[in-house]
Amino acid sequence: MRLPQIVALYVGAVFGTGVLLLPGLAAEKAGPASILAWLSMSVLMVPMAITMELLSARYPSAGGVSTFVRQAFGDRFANMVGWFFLLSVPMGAPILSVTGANYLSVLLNWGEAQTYAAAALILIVVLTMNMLFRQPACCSGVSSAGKQ
Amino acid sequence: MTHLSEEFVDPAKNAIRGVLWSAGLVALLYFSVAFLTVATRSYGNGISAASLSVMIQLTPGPAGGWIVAVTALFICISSANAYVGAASRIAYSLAQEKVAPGFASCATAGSDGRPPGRRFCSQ
Repeated sequence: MRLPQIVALYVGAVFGTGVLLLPGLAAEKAGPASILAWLSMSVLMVPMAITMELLSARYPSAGGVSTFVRQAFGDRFANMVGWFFLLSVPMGAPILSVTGANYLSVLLNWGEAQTYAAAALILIVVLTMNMLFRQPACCSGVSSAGKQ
Repeated sequence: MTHLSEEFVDPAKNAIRGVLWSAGLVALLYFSVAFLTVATRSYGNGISAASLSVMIQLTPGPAGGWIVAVTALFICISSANAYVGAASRIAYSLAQEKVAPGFASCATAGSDGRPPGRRFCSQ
């Protein structure tokens, strides 16, 4: 991958699902002040992003974060990274489903029950697809959901 | 994202430049959307979770809302799918290393006994 593809992948992974949900929620909690929160986040994320990229430049591997942790702290902690990811799935996957359903519900004037029914349907479809085909579409979007 | 670094041409140079460009772009995009969400008051009263749709309907009307809704559905389903798929791949490799119960391996291995994912997190 060259620079434009790398940038496109990063932006897609980080921006993809977040933009559907986060600006609205932040605005609801903080009102106009949420703009300040976004500004400070833009600055605060730079050190972490650079750390991750320096690490991935030094240890190019498909293992991502768990590879770096394995290098620094050994297998035990690398496996813990895996467990943390697993623990995030029961939260992340339903959030994604509800987000998708909300976009339908705003258009169709659904009530809460219908929205959550649609979200459950999305989740069931995804789980069924994975159980039947057992071949995940590859990774883009995963880390945006996992928020690293 | 870091797990894709293996595929980079010239990782040393491109990883850093890639992240700087991306961070700048993402910050700009998020800031613009957040700013417009506040400026158009597309939040509160149960619409915050779909404020992008509310905002886009301000100009082209319901058609814009449908485009956003269908796109949002695609994005959410594909992300949820990638997420669940990646999780099963990780559960499998944890089971292989004997740090997860063995059933995780049986539950996620394909019919040929191989792990479900092809690329994600393969060491």
